[in-house]
Amino acid sequence: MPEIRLEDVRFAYPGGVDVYPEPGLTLALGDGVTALVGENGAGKTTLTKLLIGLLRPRAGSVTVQGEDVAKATVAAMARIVGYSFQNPDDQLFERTVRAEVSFGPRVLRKPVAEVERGVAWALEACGLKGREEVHPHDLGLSERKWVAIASALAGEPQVVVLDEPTLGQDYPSRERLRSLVAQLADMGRTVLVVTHDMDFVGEACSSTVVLSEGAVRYAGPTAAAFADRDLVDEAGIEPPHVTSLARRLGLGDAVSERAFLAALGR
Amino acid sequence: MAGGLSLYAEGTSLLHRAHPLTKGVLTLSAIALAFIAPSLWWVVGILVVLLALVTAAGVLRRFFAVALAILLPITLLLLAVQGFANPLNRTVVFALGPIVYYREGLAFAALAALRIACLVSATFLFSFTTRPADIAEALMQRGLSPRMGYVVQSALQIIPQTLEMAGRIQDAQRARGLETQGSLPRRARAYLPLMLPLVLSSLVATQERAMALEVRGFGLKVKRIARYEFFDSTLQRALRWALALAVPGAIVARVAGWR
Repeated sequence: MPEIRLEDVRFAYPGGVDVYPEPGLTLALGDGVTALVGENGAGKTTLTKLLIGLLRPRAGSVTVQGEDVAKATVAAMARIVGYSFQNPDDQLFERTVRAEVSFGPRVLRKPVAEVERGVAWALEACGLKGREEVHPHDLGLSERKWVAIASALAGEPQVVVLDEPTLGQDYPSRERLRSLVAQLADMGRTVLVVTHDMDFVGEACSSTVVLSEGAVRYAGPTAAAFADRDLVDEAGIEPPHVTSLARRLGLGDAVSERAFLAALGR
Repeated sequence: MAGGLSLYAEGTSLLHRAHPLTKGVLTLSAIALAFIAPSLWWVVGILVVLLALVTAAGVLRRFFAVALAILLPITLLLLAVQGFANPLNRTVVFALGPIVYYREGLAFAALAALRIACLVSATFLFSFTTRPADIAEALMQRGLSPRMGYVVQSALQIIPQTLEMAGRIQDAQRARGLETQGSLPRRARAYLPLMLPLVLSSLVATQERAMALEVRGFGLKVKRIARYEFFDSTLQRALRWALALAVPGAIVARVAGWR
């Protein structure tokens, strides 16, 4: 059963045009790591906000883990969906990293033992161990971003939404992020990554959804997402660098380093 | 960024094109004269002129939508309270049993309501036809210090920006499970998680804005040239002087016995 299901979803911002034109957005996502890609304004962030109930569809239905989002409060959805926003400064307010990361599970009134387990795991997974007592605003942007990601994970949500997680991150940080999403997938969680970073998509995301002008143009394995060059052009995305290189060397459409090396060794 | 607070409506009428200072002087003088003028008919005259200008600017429909929402309740309240309860009330207009409506109160309320109508009309006439950024630009061209000009401009722009930021913060905290609506204790608990990111981000933004201004030479003590010139003419200059002088003129006339 898909973890996330959108059916004929229509949405318009006040005074604006439809984000998802007729007949509306229909999409089903299973577990694993899915990349959500497309040009600015394609409807990516709107989609993720619909999943947690921050935005309500004008028509159609959104179901997450069998829960009808229309019937749930945002706080109730926050138990299922861990959402990390683009800009960490929109949420950081506690005096220590530990307090910040544990804020979500605490307002959700989870049992103390569960909170401690989730927070310890999130701090470890996000490379914040040893930084627990630091004031979040004494950290650099990259680390603040990790605090926000850890906050989204501390409640041990079944579905994780990461909005532009690689923005402004250095190489070690991106590697950590890659292993983090792989780890989450191994734990059976559903991870949705909104991003413009196609190299990260190729390396870390098993499936990809391409949105263009509010419509799903592709949903399936990442390995085949960049094969249709017309679609890639139309959706305003670029293939990963390794794919461009593989093509120039006549090695097919490898989207990750590993696939590239495999094609090279053949 | 035009901003969510600006009432400015794009247009090409004479009033849209007029120098912001001309419109500013017109607005302020019309308001002052409406309150200085001694009798109802003078105020009616000023209001008619203002409404004619609103019509000429092509914003009559927008004007009625917002102006009536403000003026109607005020006028009705004035008419009711003054007609029934003004201490000068002597002459009966009508009586409904024990409730008596008086002429003196009615006259007082009508004059007050018309003056407020002039105030509102003049203000909207200016707001509808003048781009907010042009006000500061025009004042700076007339020697206002750029620092003050920036204060005027940023005050107009900062509110929509802050509202947008507050919306993002609210989304982020609600997504973590924070309840921001409902009972008072619940909202009190939501105060810090909503306010602190807003204050911290605003402080950081202010610092960044100051640096951005500085690298663009904002603090340089040199003569500045205007990016564009506003349309000005001898007629407009004459009009500005006439309107500006009419105000002290009217005051002198009132003191000398204009009734």
